[in-house]
Formats: sequence, structure tokens, C-alpha cells
Amino acid sequence: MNEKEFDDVLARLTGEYKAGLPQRLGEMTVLWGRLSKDRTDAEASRKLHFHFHYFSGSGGSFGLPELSDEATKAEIALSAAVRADRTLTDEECRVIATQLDVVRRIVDGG
Amino acid sequence: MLDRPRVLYVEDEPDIQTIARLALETIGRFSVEMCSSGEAALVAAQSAVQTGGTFDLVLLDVMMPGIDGPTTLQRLRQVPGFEHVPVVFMTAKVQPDEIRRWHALGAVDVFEKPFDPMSLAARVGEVLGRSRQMGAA
Repeated sequence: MNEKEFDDVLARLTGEYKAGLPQRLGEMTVLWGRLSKDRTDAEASRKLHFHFHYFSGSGGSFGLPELSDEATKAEIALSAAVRADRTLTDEECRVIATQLDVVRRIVDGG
Repeated sequence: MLDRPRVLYVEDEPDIQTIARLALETIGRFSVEMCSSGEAALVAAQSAVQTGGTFDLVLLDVMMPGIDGPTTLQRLRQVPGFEHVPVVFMTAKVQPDEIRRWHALGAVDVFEKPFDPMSLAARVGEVLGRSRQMGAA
């Protein structure tokens, strides 16, 4: 594979990655809706944590470093509650809501 | 012609698997086997050893469904013939205390995610070279 072919494949993979983001974001929005109604919903916390973790660990590899940076803030906010299997605090909920909006703007603009 | 170094990459996200494989095989000329879980990695390690081979390096995601990276490393070390295969953790968040803990478990390095696909192969090559030097010493 020459350099141009490599770049072409990388561009295609990046396009596929970005195309998949809205669906994942939709799932995150549903999970956040569940948590907004019931902070004790441990399954929603755990799944939302995995989604933010995915953005955090992948965005920069696909040309979206800001997606990684912003998702990491929400991942950190969720981590302590998920690990301790406890209810989210008011401050953690505020961070998650804020970062979900920031991530949505990045995905919409990406 | 020398065989390509064999890399076992353990990562649950298909997107990351794909871009890592592209980088490692195309830029680094490594032979890459992907596993989507720690459980699958243990099977791959046992299978490699049983067929008379092994891997030159393992790249191991820390946070995965099922058994996580650190637990996978502990169990890999119990596979006969896999006790000294160098393992690098891949993780999105790197805290100093976590790095110390993972080194104590036997990881030779920690790569932060997201990785740069253009430099991943070079970093893997550096770790491989370092590990071979230590093994030869």
C-alpha cells in the first residue's frame, strides 16, 4: 500500500467513524434521559460511561481531538459513581449534562 | 526474510481495531491478531503456545466489557510460555498511580488513547526493540 492509498483508507475510516457518531449520541441522549428521571439507574450510568469512554479513547485517532477532550470530562464525572456503584451527585450531573451538549455540538459540526 | 513481529491487540471497539490494524500492518509491517475481549485474548495466547508459536508483543486495552485489561494481564502470565511476552496497556486516562500499579503488574509501557495512527507503529517498534535488548542482556 503506497502513501496515497494509505491516506485514502484513513480518510474512509475517518468518514465511517464520523458517520456513526450521531447514532451513538442518540443512545447517549436516551441514557441521559433515563438518568435525569432516576439517578439510581445504575445500568444507564454504566452504559453512558462506556459511551463517553469510547469517545474519549477514539476521537483523536479520527481527527477529532476535541471530542476526546470533552468526553473525558464526562467520563471522569461518571467514573467515581460507576466504580463505587453509587448515585450521581448534583455536580456530577451538571458536568455530564454540560459535556453531553458540548459533545453534541462537536458531532453536529463534525 | 525475517518473519514479521506478531502483535496481539486486545480492544473491544471495532473502529479502534480497524485503524490500529491499518497503522500496525501498513506502516509497521507487523502481523496483527485482534481480539475483542480479555477472554478471547487468553484463548489466542493458549492457541499460539499450543501450536508452537507466541506473540512478540501484546497491546491491551484497560477498560473492556468482561475481564478488564489488568485482570487479563494477570491471567496471561499464567499461560505457560506467555510469562515474559511484553504487554503494553492502552488507556484513555492515565493517572500516575495507575501507571505505577500497571508497571507493578508487569506492563512494559502505557500508551495513551486516543493514539496517533501515524506514530503507533513506531512506538510499538520502540517497545519491541527495548524488550529484545532487555531479553538479550
